[in-house]
Amino acid sequence: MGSNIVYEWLRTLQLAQYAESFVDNGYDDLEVCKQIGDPDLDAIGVAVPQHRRRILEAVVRLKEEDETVSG
Amino acid sequence: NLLIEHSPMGSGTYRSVGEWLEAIKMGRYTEIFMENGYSSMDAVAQVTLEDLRRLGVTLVGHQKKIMNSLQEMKVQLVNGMVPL
Repeated sequence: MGSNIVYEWLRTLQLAQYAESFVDNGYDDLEVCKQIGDPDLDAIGVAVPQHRRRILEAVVRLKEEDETVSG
Repeated sequence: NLLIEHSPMGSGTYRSVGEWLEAIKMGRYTEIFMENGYSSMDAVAQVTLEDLRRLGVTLVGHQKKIMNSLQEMKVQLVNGMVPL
């Protein structure tokens, strides 16, 4: 579990405490994490507004990286 | 339980839909599955992504979790493998 890509991603956001809940809810790779919005965060149990904002901003960055690579 | 262990169905690992959903931490959907006719593991084995959406499983993570679990059961069924 320590080497999971989502764990690494959350660690860079300093939100690794949510990694287990992400994986338990099926958000276990970055493809599926790209589709995260408010309902997903509700299910995962990210309640702190600051943490939610940080994750949603990171989701936007994930999508942007995708567009840069694939054109 | 020997009867369950030796069941020819891979999905026989779980005795009920509720038990299966609890095991993959998707227990919140048990009632929805039961109410919509997916009340046995054999019925659940036929579920598609479309079905999940129709049932109101809208979170992609949860869709992925449920579909992955069904896929694993089908693989076990094909391999005739009984999990230890």
